[in-house]
Amino acid sequence: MPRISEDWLAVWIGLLVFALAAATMFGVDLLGWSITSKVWVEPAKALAPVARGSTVPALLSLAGTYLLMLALTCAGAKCLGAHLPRFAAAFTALFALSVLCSAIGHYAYIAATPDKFDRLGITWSLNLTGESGYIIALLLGLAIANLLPRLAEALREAVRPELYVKIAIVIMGAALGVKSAETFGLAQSVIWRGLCAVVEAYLIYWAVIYYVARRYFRFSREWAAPLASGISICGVSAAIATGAAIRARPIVAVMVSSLVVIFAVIELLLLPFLAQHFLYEEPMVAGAWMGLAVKTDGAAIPAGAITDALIRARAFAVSGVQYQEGWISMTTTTTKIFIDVFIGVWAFVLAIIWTSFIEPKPGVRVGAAEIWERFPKFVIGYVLTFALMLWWCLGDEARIGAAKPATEVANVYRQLFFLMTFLCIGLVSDFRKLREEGIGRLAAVYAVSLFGFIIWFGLLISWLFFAGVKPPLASG
Amino acid sequence: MQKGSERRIKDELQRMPYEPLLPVERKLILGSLLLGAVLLVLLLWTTRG
Repeated sequence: MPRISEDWLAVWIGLLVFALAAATMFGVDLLGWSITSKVWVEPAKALAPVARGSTVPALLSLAGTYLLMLALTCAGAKCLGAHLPRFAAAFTALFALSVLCSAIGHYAYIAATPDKFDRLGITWSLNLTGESGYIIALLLGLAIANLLPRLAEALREAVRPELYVKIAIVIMGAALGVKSAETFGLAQSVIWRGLCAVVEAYLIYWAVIYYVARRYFRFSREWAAPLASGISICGVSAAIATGAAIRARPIVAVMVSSLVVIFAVIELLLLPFLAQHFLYEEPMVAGAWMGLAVKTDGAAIPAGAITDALIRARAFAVSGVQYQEGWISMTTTTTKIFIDVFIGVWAFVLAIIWTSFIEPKPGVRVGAAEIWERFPKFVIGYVLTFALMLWWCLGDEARIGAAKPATEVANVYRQLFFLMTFLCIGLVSDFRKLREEGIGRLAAVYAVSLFGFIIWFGLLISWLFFAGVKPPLASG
Repeated sequence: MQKGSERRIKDELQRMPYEPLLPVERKLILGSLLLGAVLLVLLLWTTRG
């Protein structure tokens, strides 16, 4: 029996990593030895400690990082009631594969941007940036799940993509807080525009998808409502919250959720690259688009990070413009966090409509407490790290300089948790499901709605609210 | 047990009887779209204005 929810666990682990990293701001370097991937030509230079000038050998740094993450996640797994030895063994394998994917993704001929060619002694590269490691992790996970199902089963105890991404989001709040302090006006604008875009998406997405599912695909109300929320709002959490709100059987949300992950994988492999090619002149539109179009936190927020890297690389290669890192990610995260926050409110509204008008049940009353019950608690951790760093840095500009090394250290763990998220998403995506009888109708409404409407309407809304808004330039 | 339940659900999905849209569902859909359209104009006006 779990002693804590996954959301609260993510908050505590994320805050602990943040606190350890934040010690750097006060001259106490607790995590500078943590391992990070570097763009490399010689394999020996693929991994190194994050702190500049650190003399810790890479192997020791790797071992230390692994042991810290193992300790944190094992403590968490114990609270969640997992089988500890199985979890530790599976986590070790996932960690090793994640680091390997990150290292491959940082190979100079894959990752290097044109400004690094001279230093690395190369003349070309795919210009995919180090974030390509996420895609490699996703593909590896997919290959294991679909070709080596026994291995996927053996890793199952540690395959927890939602937990890993929520920890990463809490940690990421700190870096975004510092960034926002640097350009406070732009940060306010991103938050306001993100809120506007989400309000629009909720009201229009859900109604259209619900209508399509009911009218054209002839789903019953019990199926259509969770399906509409899963496709249009935020995948798994929205499908579950809506299912509970309208008193649908739990299996309905489970079936919808299994499709959400599969389609999120397809989006992950397509949308960041589409954005790189067509939206490199409108980076913030691309960021909001990832938040509105890619379903589930596990896929959307890392998709923002990939898009951030890809677009900056392309903008530099094509127009010589060097945008600051992180603003595209921030736009995706802001949009997605607002979507998460509103799930509880939307589920509450649906619960009232269902119990009062559609399927009235005598004696059943819906209380406002349901909003809090469905509130994604990890958002509290994100807001805390974001607000703390924003407040700290706004107090005195000189503090921004001290805060940056701290967020760089925290970023090591954010990236590792993102990598593990991608690997796990691949591991839980069983494409054979699409061929199963009966699922075809669910998959059809999902595919038609997502590729026929959600993606393009999300792009339109993102364009309307973010066109012309640019990230600050990296130099000057 | 779970396999059996999934099997039943797949059968249910294949033979789901059509439930016509209730007037309240139409109102929910139209109301949501209308509110979305009105807010779109308002929010764009406040954001760009």
